[in-house]
Amino acid sequence: MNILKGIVLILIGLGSGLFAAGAVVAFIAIIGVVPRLAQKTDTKEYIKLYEEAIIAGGIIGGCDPYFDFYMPLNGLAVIFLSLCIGIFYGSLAVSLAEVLNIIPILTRRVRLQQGMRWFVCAIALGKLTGSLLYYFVPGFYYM
Amino acid sequence: MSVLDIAERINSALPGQTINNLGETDTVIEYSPKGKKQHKVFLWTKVIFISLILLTGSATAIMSFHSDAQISTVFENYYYIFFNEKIENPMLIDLPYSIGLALGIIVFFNHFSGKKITDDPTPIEVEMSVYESEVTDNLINTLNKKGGENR
Repeated sequence: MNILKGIVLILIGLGSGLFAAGAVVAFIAIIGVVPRLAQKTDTKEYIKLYEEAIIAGGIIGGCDPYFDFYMPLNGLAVIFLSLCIGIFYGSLAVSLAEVLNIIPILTRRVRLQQGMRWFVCAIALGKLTGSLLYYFVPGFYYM
Repeated sequence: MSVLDIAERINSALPGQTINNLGETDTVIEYSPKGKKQHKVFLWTKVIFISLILLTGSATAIMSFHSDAQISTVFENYYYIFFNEKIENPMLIDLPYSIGLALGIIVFFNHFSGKKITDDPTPIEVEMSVYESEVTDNLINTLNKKGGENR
């Protein structure tokens, strides 16, 4: 009886792992961050390498709540890695907004064709100040 | 350049012929007098930088998904349903979950460390070609609009 329960639990774990991983990684792949990055730096031949980076990152992030590992990195390396995470999340958020067609709809409603670059700068600065306020103003962080 | 330009030139050179168009109607031609070669070191720093961005980004994305969905609590509940004890991080569900995670990502992306599973292009390559075709279409549209005013 216990063995049967164990087998069912193993199946549940396997299935939920497949689904959770697929959902998150499919979201990243479909949203169009990777083709944009690859095109900007003119490195289209290395898309397989980028996919393997996503695979490795997904496995590391997925195993993190269960296995304690300790990487003794310096402060400077941590700053650089946080910069990388920020770049990724910034482009993810903006491509999400772009998929929902926010900027075209706004320009059609307001009938404004010039000044696109100011919009983009405003969005970037807004995200920056929002994130800083979230961390440095007491009260936001525990929401 | 569109097929109409080519037809005009052919007509002015050999008048009175019929022209059948068998392919696309508009093409985008890039002209670079010296081939664009990138320095090797520069290329490899860019590749490594973007790989780092993607690695850390996707790790954080999955971790934030976990903490959002409270998967640890869900698994503790599962263990409690079946075995009637409360354990933190039940290993019986955690290990298959991690294995399923790795399998799911590999099956989705259709290749792992150089070996492909089936013969289709990987999803990101599909996205890349879709993106490129959209960019080319947009470029053709804007150039046609501007070219129409100039002509």
